[in-house]
Amino acid sequence: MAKKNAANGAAAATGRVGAKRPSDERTLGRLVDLGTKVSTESVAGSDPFVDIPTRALSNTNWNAKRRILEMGDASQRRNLFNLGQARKFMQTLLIASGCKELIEQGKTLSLRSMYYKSLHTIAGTKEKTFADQEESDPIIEDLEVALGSLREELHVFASERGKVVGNLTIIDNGDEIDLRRMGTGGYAIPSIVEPSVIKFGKCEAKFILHVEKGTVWARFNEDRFWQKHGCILTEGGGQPPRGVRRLLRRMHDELGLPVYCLLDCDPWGHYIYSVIKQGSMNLAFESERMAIPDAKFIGIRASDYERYGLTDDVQIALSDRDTGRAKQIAEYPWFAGKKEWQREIQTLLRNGFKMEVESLITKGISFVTETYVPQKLAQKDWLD
Amino acid sequence: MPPETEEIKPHPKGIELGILIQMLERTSATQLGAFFKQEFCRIGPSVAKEICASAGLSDRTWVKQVGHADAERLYQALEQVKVSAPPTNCVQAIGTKTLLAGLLKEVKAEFYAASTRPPSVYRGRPFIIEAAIAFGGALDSEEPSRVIRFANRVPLQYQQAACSSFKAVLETNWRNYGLAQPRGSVPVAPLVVMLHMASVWVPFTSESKEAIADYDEIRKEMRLALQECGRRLQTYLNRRRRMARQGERRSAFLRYIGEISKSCGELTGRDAKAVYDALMKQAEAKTAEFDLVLDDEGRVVDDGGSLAKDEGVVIVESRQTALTSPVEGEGAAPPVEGGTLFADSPAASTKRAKRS
Repeated sequence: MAKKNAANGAAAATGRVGAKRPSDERTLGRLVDLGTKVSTESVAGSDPFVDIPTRALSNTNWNAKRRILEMGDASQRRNLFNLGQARKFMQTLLIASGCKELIEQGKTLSLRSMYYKSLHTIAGTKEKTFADQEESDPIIEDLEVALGSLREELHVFASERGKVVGNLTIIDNGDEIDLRRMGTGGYAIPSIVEPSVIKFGKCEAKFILHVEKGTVWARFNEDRFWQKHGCILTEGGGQPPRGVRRLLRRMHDELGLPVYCLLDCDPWGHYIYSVIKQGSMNLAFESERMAIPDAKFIGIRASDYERYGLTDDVQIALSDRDTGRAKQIAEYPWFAGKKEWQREIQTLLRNGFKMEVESLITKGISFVTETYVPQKLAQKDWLD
Repeated sequence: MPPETEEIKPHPKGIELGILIQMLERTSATQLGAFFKQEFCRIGPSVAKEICASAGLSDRTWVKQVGHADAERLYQALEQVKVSAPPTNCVQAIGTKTLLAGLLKEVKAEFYAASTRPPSVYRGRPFIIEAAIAFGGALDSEEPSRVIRFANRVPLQYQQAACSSFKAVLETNWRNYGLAQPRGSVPVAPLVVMLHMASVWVPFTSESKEAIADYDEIRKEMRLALQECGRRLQTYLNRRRRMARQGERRSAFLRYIGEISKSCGELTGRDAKAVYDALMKQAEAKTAEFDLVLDDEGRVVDDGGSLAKDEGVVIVESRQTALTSPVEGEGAAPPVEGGTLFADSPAASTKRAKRS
């Protein structure tokens, strides 16, 4: 069944068939330990359980020294003999056994394929093991934190999102890819970008510019921004998936490149920046290898409206939800201590409207690539 | 048939002027004092004297000399005088057992309850109200409930809306007992309601004897009888809900154990059967524990115990003969198939099996 799914699933996955990773032995050991623990408890006549660290703000600690979000010690016990947890307990074990099979066969599946792999009707009932993918995704995340193994180590990857071009050559699973010669489409950042899959080659870039979404990225790419300014241009399709974040981090660490973010002027843009910079709450346990505490926020700034004389047309009114979210973000401990950020959010709230990066198009098609970003970079006008 | 009733004389509060005049004409008594003592219940010599005095007459007044005006004054005096309530051995209830047997025979339901009120008096006339309900089973849950009315063991077929019994059913708040009841209507539920009024004088609204007239005392008794049945129904429904919940809980565990043991086997590479057996055993132990908890907690909501002991309740178990103790003189009650709601829930039947 795994073979069939892998073949039907994302083609990118099949390319990595047989890729044994150094982490496999360890992950396999942890999976077997989980099975043994549950079996032993069951045979001994006690209620079997799995402890799952809590993935929520309440269990997220801001490490001011390291400037990243870290996961706390709180965990939830998932018992079999508890009506509210029995189904999830069953699903956790089902996914675990699925992952074991993947690792043993040296194959990878997407989150969606993993859902299909574990999907069947429970014998003697009309109940399915998973109602939809929404139910299986969190279980995979639960398993990650419970085992302390990353999703990639479990041979599961998320759908691919995000693109990159720039003055860099990479070696993807043995294939040399020149990111200078990617045309208009760019190179799709895979979900797994660990050194075992992606290695860096020749690099002439001086910095990384990360933009929020594909439309803006296409503008920069068409204007050959990365060539003129010697940089790497990435895009994360909104909230960047793990692959993008991990690649940014690796380029930042291993190539020594500073990261600048060009995001929308709204609470969601701010939160994207926050996730790139100090990690997300949901995956706080991964911050250590994902977060880039030195990343900078170059725009769009709330003050840009007056500074660049933008017109009323670009204003998008803040909804109640936006306002609430902005206030929430301002209170996060990693923003609370930063006066500049407090001012920025206050200005946003005072303005009462948000702006997308595209609003700069009103000043000229290439205003953002020829004037806005170069000016900001030259003046070192950014938020930290 | 219920035993014969005692005959009583009219009670002073229960007569009208015309009847009083008629009684005065037909009596064999010669003097007023003797007339009252002889023709009425609950009137002694002193009360008779009091009545005559307040009508401006004496207990020695000759009955033959009482004119129409005197009779009117006497009637008013009767209205005002204080006398005790009439004896109630003159009315006879059908009895809960017979009521239940009747319903069981006619209505295919799963729950039956009946209650007989103690005798009461309206306008000096003793009466007894009895109510019975049948719920669930083959009854239609989408239709308004049916109300069956009886007066002195005779069914009333017409003018339902004008009848006090029907109004009492409307007036009762069935929502309290977990049934749906649209405003100003009978409950929409798989329910049949039966009401019986036994009295020396049933106050019909007209000579056609189709509907019982409204008297506060009668309506109140009817309501109380219905409420008694309703409370038992609620107890039953609560218990049923609880059992369904317990059943769900149990089957959830049983469902997942197969998957869990299989996954464990795949993870460890060892035999899944041992884990399966161990978990099955645990699940059974846990659910047995749930039963115990339920029974212990039964005090809060109720377990089958108090309902089972209640003479006014019959619960038809699926595929079981109703009424384990036969109705007197009737032999065993007919077996009734019912309880479709129960039959759906396997857990419920296992639980019942354990109890019995």
